[in-house]
Amino acid sequence: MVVKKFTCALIIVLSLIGTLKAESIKINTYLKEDVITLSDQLQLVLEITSDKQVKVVAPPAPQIPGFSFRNVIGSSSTEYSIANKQFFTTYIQTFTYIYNPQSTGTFTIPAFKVKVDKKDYYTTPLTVQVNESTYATTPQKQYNLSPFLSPFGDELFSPNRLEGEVFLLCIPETDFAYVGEPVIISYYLYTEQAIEAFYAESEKDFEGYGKAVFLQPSSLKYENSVYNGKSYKRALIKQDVIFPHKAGRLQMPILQGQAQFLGFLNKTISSKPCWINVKSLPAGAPVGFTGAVGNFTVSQSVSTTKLNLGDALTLTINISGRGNFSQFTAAPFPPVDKFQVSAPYIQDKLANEIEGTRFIHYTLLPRETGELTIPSYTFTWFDSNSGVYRTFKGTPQKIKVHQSNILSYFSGLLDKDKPQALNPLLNLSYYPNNKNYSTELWFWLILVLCALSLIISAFIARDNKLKELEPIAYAQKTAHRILNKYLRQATEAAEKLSSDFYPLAESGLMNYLARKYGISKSLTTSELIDALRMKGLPLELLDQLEEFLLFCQQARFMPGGAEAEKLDEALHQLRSLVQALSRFKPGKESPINTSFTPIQSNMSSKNEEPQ
Amino acid sequence: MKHLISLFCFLILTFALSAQVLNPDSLNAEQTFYLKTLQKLEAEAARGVQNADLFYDIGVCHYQLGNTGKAVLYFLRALNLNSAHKQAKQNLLYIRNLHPELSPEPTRPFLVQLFLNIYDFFSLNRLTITLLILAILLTLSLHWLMHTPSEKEHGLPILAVVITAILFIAFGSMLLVKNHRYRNDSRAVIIANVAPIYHTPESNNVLQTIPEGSVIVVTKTQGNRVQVILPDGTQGWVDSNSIERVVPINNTKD
Repeated sequence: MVVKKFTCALIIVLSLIGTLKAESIKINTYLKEDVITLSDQLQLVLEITSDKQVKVVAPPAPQIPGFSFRNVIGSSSTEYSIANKQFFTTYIQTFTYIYNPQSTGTFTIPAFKVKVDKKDYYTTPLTVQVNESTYATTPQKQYNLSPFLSPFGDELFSPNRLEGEVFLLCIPETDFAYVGEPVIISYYLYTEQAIEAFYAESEKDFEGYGKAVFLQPSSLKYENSVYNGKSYKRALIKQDVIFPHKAGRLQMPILQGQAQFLGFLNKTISSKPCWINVKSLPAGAPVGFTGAVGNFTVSQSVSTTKLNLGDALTLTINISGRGNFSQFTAAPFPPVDKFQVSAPYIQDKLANEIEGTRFIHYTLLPRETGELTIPSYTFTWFDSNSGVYRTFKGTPQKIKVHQSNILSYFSGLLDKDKPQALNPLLNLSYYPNNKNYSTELWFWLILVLCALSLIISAFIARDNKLKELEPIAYAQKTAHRILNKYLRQATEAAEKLSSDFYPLAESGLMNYLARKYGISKSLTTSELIDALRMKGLPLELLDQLEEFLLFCQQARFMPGGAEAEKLDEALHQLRSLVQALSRFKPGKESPINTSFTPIQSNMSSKNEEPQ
Repeated sequence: MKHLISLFCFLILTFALSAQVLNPDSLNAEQTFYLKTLQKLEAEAARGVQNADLFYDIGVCHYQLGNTGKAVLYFLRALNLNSAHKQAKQNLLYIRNLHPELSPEPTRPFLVQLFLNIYDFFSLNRLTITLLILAILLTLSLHWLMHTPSEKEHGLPILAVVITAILFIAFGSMLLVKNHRYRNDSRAVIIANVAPIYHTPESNNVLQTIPEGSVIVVTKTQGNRVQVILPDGTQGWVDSNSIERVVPINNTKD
């Protein structure tokens, strides 16, 4: 019992999986044009996509305010694709509803229900704008409700005619083709009756081909035609393009649809069976044949023949003509060492499924400088007209690659990049770790050095400016420096109770005065005093200076000269003298009388003591 | 019992078949090559190597293996390290052009685009070197100005100082901004196939979904969700395992 339950559960799960897998129906509605004029027709397209064949009846045309319904055209197509070595089939059923606009304005097409496989789906509402016609205001005849009007104004047949034959014919453009060669098949409605509309319900497919819709006229356009010796009116219903993938006698799809009389009578019609003979491609296909069948013209071009190392060039292969564009891919690029080659980027500019131009772009990045050669690219196809394989072999292209210069770094600043292929792998042997230079020591060291040099330079510039603009002030400044230097040395000597104080004080004063007043350093005391007197120094200050210098000369050799008390007193006198000298500005009236502090008078008496 | 055994056999066969599809050995030669290369490169990145070329190569491998989100992420990482990485920039643009569901590159006025291109051209290290050269030039100009004798014309040295000073300040500011972005890039990339965007960190009401490879800006983290700003300016919350940041939070840079 338990086993049975388990089995049932498994079966349910499996069937559920199967059901879920089958749920791949997509409903899509869109307008061919959402802005039209009064003289245009509105085409509302309903597309039902599924991975299995489902029978769908055309849903009733939705009522659109401001529009009169005219016709519905049904079609179906099957798409085959291969992905990951799996073969996929997609069934597409399309219903095109045609309306005539009645007035200008903006109208909303309401959502409507579509029943597929017993399930209801709803479309999305759409908006259409109708403008005034830019052409002549006289209404065009083909938009009359009756489609049975010749372009010349004469009715082809009476719209009330209800008798006569009606049949669908499938007419292939050729009854012999090669595997892969596209063949257009046309479905014509032959009639002796007044058929107002035709709605293609379904297509019955057979094995051995893939197909796509080639042309779907939006209205029935009748012409006179003779079939089996009998005259009919015929209208093109649809054209499909067939891609045979199997040799043999292949039956073409049978189109089934409903012809409408008098607006309400329907008649189901199927196309008569037709076949084409498909022949296999001859053996011995060249290497690189990727399945292209048709009539092509192939050429190649390169974007540039001179470039800098690091820049890329694009090699483009143009394949123009008629063939199975949806069935072949790019041939592999020939092996090349001196370039990195991207995966191909394929760009199609096709007028329809089988005619147009295909561009295959390869991006090549040179690996080295010099004259490099792009090897010849080969593209092989089977020419269905002549029944032989043809190969396009491009001429090897010489490319000059220069060393990149400083200007090449700036190339591309103005370009808006529109890459046409993914750039390839760089595949370097070693990937160094990224260094952020702004966090490196040398970066900050250089900045600090720049700042330091500026500070030093500013001091030098200030001195230079002073020297240039105020030479006297500059001389005083430098003299003070010298004096401070010697005074400091003398002070140190005094603190150490060294008798060196006296010569240091004397030489400091001599150097200072020599630099400040531009006199010789090697003058005797009396000569120095005379020279200074000539410079206009106050007599009182000169006396004090002479007295101090003589004292220094005597104190060097007198006993007890290095005694603490005497040194301290001499240092005090020296300081007073320096202050007095620094306050005196040459060439100005001396302020000495008011600010000079006289040296204590006891100096002379104390100086005389050793004598 | 026989029925049960046959059912089991059938199930095992089903799993074996699906496993075969996922087995790397069954992938074609190109995919195998990219898979092996990716493994090698990711091992290098796992060692902590920060290199724009390495990130670029990882991005190419991911794209060739169909991981658009990861490819976008690694191209952005390469550009974060070196904004002048031309190939990474082009590949990013290529992916955006191929996938219109991702926010396309906005069309900008010419001068704005030119400025952005110049900004990208000056990668962090190029900016640093340029700033250093400008600092030296500014120093020399100041030396020139300071030591020009007073009786001589000062116009030229003043002009040199003004120009180099303006450039120095501009490039210095650019370096600061770039350095800040390099360290604190708040962008992230959707790596899940489709990521639902929620109203609040707690709710399960889906605001909208966003496709793989979309670049978003992360503003806040709360639990297992992060607050993001979408390319169209919408704010919402997304599961943190659906995204990966361009600059990982735990990434420590020099």
